Amino acid sequence: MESKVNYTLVGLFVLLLSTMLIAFAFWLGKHNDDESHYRHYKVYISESISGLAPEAAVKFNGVDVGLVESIQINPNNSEEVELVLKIQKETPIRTDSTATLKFFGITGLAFIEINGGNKNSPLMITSDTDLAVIPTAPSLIKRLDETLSTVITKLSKTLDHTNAIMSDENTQNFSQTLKTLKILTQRINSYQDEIDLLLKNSIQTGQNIDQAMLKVGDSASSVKSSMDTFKVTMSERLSPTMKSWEATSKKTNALLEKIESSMERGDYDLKSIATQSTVELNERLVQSRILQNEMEITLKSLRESPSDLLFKQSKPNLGPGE
Amino acid sequence: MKFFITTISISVLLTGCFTMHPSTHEYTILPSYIPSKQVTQSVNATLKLSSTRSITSLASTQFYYLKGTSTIGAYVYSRWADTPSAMIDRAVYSSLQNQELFSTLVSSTSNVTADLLLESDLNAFYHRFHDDSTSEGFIDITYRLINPKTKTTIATKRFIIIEPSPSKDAKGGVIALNQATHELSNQCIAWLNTSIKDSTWKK
Repeated sequence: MESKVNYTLVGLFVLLLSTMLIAFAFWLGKHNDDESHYRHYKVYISESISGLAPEAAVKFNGVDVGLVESIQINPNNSEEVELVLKIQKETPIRTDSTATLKFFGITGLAFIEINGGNKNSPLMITSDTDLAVIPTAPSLIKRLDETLSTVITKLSKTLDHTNAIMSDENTQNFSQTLKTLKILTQRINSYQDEIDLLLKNSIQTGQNIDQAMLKVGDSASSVKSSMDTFKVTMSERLSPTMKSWEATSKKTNALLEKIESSMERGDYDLKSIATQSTVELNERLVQSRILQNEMEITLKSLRESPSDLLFKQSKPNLGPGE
Repeated sequence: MKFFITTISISVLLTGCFTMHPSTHEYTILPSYIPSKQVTQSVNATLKLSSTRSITSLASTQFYYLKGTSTIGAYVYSRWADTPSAMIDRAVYSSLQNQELFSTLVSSTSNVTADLLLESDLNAFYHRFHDDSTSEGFIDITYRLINPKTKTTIATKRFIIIEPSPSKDAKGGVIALNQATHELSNQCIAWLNTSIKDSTWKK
């Protein structure tokens, strides 16, 4: 029996199915790669990104939200690596969100983890022409590295200081101090009896002082009563004297006021009174001095030749040209 | 007898009165008039000139001459009319008044309270003779400008003036000392002018 197959229909069916499969594949691919569902951000990392490759996952608080689109050295700063992240547009990347490099367990594969930031912070705005930059936080390895470096540095300094403290000289001094302390302790032990005696004496002295203070208190009371008596006596006897003194003081004050007013009027301006007289006196003194000199000269000549007073016999020493 | 003794005694006593001596010349130093003004700007202050103090021998009207550096003598028939200090004071006062360096000038006897005081010490005022038969007028005087309010010295200067004498007698000495006094006045005014301008003194 020979089947009747319509090869034309089979061919058409195959062609139609193939076309539909291809169309479905294109539709599926286009749907998944729809760029309109993603936004691009830049991240600059200043540490090694070993283990991170293009297409690596980008997680937002542990949720896959995109992938690393490209990796390159920052053309403006060779110390940084520039990453372009492709992240779903629904992802709430905020201005205080930070990107951190993390690793999957011990496999060495890395991904980018984005921390959400504060929910009240504004969303980060990015565009295809001007990509927003997500700030980075140091990775765990970097933090560990920095912390370990700091710890090692401090440990090294501590060891240096310890070495300096535990030098041979200090060790010897410490040993010497311990020996001295030992000797001192032994001596204190040997003086134990004397210390006990001293303490007993101190207690006795304290008791004596208490007794003495009681006696001083009695004496003070006696002195106080004597002073009260003295005060009463003095007030009784001095009262008339003080009254007389007060009256005298008032009279003296009145007299002083009169003298002061006279002084202010210039009645006793001794300076102006004396000035004129002083000037005249000075002139007289100058003239007296001249007269005194002349008299000295005359007396000197008489002393040299007393007969000149009567006979004028001596010849004076004439000056040049006389 | 009494008359005889009295006559003899009076005759002996009057012998001295009959001694004949040449007449004594008295000299003075007149203030000079300086025709041109040395001072361009007057100081608005009152200056009092204190009397010049001198060593004892110069506080008389004797006209002293000096031979060499230590022999001193006085002319017998020549005298000064006033003491050297008084003559110098008069000359300097007159020159200062003539130059109008200070707005007011008062003498030492004035009652006016002065802004400045000029003191002086006269150490030499002699007609000095040298061994080489030359002679000169020689003045050595020190001036001090004082602020009487603070009792502090503003400036001090010693002037030693020497002027040659035209003749080796008292008259030549008078001429030389006259010239020296005038020169002293000029130098003193110049010094006062400079001292006031250079000092920080304020009225």
